[in-house]
This record gives sequence, structure tokens and C-alpha cells, in this order.
Amino acid sequence: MSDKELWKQLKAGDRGALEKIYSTHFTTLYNYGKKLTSDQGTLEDSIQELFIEIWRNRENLSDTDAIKPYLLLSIRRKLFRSIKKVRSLTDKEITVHHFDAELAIDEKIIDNENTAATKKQLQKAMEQLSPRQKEILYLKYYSNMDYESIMEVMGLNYQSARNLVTRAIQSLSKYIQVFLIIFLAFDEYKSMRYAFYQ
Amino acid sequence: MEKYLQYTAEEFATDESFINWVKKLDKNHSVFWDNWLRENPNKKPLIDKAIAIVQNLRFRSETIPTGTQKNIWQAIEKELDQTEVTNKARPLFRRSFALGFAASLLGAFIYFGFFGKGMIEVQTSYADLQSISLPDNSSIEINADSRISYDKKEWKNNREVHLEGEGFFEVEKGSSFVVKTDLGQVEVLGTSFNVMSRNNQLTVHCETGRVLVKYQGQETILNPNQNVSIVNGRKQDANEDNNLVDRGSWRKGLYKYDNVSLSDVIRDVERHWGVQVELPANIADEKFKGSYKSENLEKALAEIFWPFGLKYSIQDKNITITQ
Repeated sequence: MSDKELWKQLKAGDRGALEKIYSTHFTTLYNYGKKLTSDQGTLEDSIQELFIEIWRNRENLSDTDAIKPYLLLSIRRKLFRSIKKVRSLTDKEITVHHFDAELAIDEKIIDNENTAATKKQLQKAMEQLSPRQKEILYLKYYSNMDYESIMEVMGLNYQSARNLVTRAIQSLSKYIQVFLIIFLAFDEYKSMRYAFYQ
Repeated sequence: MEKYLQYTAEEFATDESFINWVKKLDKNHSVFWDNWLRENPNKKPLIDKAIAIVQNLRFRSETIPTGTQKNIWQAIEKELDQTEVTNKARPLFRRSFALGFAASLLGAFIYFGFFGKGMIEVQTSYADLQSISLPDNSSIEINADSRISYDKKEWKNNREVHLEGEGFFEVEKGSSFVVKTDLGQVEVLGTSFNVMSRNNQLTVHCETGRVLVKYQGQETILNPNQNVSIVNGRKQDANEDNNLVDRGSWRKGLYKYDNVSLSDVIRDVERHWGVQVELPANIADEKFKGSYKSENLEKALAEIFWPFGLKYSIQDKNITITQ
């Protein structure tokens, strides 16, 4: 079923549709939310509140054909609101938020001796980035969202979203040169993608 | 497209169409990029680098505590059911969970009290194994620190069991029998098999018959002595006929491991004997291959630790490791 139809069923009062949406997107929401707050209780409460509110307001919801960005945007707003309350920050301050993301390594391509060194390298690379840069990389390359959805979630226009990603990638690629060389030497990967060169 | 001729590796790596091609998200882009590369072979080094960037931006995924998804959903449902009758102030999940925890300490299952009338639930604590019969004479042996529930009233129409933790199932022939866990579900007709669902890991071992494991739209069929694990969202291939992978042997008093991290092995020990082990962080990820019997704690500890040259001491329920 498409997102559009599922959303229509929800609006028509189908509790099963709510459950479907919940079970489809729970892991995504949790993973994303956990990077915006380290407080598990706040995150769990926010997810609970979000779905209760969606159900209560279902008749007033506008149509959507993309549920994921809608949910991510909503949980982001909720978490910011609760973080703001706790630390009594103003709207402006909260834009300098926290985003706790760590790059992971594909263990297939790195032997044990190199793992620790590579981990350190990746960590260093991530530390160069602002929270917003980390967030956009996470949404783009991990959650596989299109730019349009990211613009919606992060409140950016197309040009600033592109700039944010490009600058993040530029500063990352400076730091992960070594890592890329290891990766490029990896045979399985080469044969996988370059069959058509021969 | 003209613009791509001027692109740097970083610009490729941030281009939506390019990313979709690398990640195989959209078939429409693949023809375009395959052709483009054939026409511009001199761009290969740039493209290699851009692909490497895109493929390597992986993020660590969070470990979601067992039961979280279910607990929050139950709290949502409870709240929605209540408000459809009255308009009370709503208790949040955390509060109801704390209440439930306090209640379970008192030996009452208030937190689970909102199960329907036909719901049967069995929960085991540490150092506690239980065996139960289901209405059709199928049986479950439940390992320590686990919980199962099923609907007795609906059993005839719907053989479905929810599991958190670990259980060994012997299923009478009949209609489809389903074990649901947070991570995925296991479907059988009549067979025996072990399911473990803990710490974002689902492991299913088939002892007799055939078992179907469903996980995020993927299906794996297991024949006798085969098993499959899904660890942190990644499927690890089904091993065949490896004597050590028979996870279900715990119920015969034997725990077996084939390259399992020491911290996971120790968690089994803690559950089985209700002890606490202080495992030094630097050895937590060491891999253990072997087995131990669950009748004697000291012998088991000796089996586990001698390959690593580690010594241990037991004081009451606390075990300390020295290197």
C-alpha cells in the first residue's frame, strides 16, 4: 500500500493504519531521535505523544504522500521543545543543537589491526563537522532521504541543503583519504561495480 | 548532461541522481550513469572516489532495548482506549513503566494487567527456567529472563506466541504456528526449534522439521541443524551442520558457542545462575568457541576462561576476573 493510501485510511479512523505506520517507522524514529537527545526517557515519551497526537488530530491532518519525513519532522520539533524546556534555551540557541552520530566501518574491508586506527580516524573526521552537517549526512546517506524531504525536516531551502552537504563531504573527504584508499583496494567491491568497464 | 563534465568527486558524491545510482535506490538512474561512464572513461578515478564516499558514509545504529517498541505501542493503545471512553489526563509510558516495575517487584503484574481476558503470560527471572504446555499440547521451555504471552481464547484460530528472550518450542502438527519477536517472526507447521531475541539480536535454530524466519520482508528457510542470526539489523548466513551452533541445547543443560563475543557468553552465565560478572572491557569483544554444562557454575567458568588465560574468583553472587 502506498503512503498516500495508508494515510487516508488513518484519517478515516483505521487504528490498524496507525499501528502499521508505527511498526514501519519505529526503528527509524528511534534511531534518529536518539541522535538528537541522549535521554532515552524523553525520546520514548516523545514517540508515544507523537502517535497519540496523530490519532487525535487525524481528521485535521493534511494529505501526505511521504510519511517518513512528516514523522521525522514532528519528532524533531518535539524533542527540541522538550530540550528547550529543560535547559530554558531560546529559539535561536536551540538551532545550535546536538547530533550524536558516529561513522561505522564495514568490517569486511578492514582487518583487526587496522580497525582501531580507522575508528580513530573516522571519529576525528566526524568531530570536524557541525551538528547540522552530521544531521544532514545522516538523513541523506543513512536514511536515504531525498533532498526535498530533508528540506522539509530541517527547514532548509534547496540551495542551503546542497551547500551544507557539500561542505560536510569536503571536510570529511580530507580526513578519510587513508580510509578511501583501503576501500578502493577492496577487490570484491571492484568486481561488483566495475564489471562493465571490461 | 553537460554539467557533470565539470563536477568534482565531492559534487558527484552529493548529487541525488548519482547517490541513487550508487545505492541502487532507483533503477531509472542506472542506465544513465552506466552510459555516462562508458562515454567518459577518463572520469573513472573521480567516480571511484565519489562512490567510495557515498558507500562509506555509514552510521552506527542504536541498540534499542528489548521490548521498547512493544511497550511504547501498548502505552499508546492503552491511552487511546481510555480516551475513547473518558478524557482523563494521560499517563506517559515512562511513568506506567516505573509503576509496572514497582508492581512486578511486589510480585504482581499490574503493568501487564491490560492484556485481554484470554491472555496468558509467563515471565521468568534470572536463574529461573520454566516449561509450559500450550492448549494444543505444543510446549515451550522458557530460558531465564524471558517472557512469553499468547491468547488462550484465540488459540484454536490463531497459534501465535509473543517472545522476549529465549525459548525452545516443540510444536504439534496443525495450522500455522507463529512466534513473534521485536525483530522478526518465525513460522512453522509442526517442528521443534529455538528462538532467541535479545539485545537487538534474533537467532533461530531449527532442530526438526522446517522453519520459516521472516525479517523485514526477507524470508529464510531453515532445515534441521541450520540456524540464522540477525544482529543489529544485519543477517548472518545460515550455518549448516556445525555442531556448535545448536543454540537450543541450553535446555539439555549445555550451552554452545561458535565465535560468540565473551560479553554475550557472560550474559548467558548471569541469566542462568543469577550472578553478576565483572568483565574487564578490554576482553568483552574476544570471541569464544566452545561449550559448557549448566549444572556447575565453577566448571562452566573454568571452561569459558581458560582459553583466554583468565582467572576468576567467586564471592556470593559476584564474580571477578583477573588477568
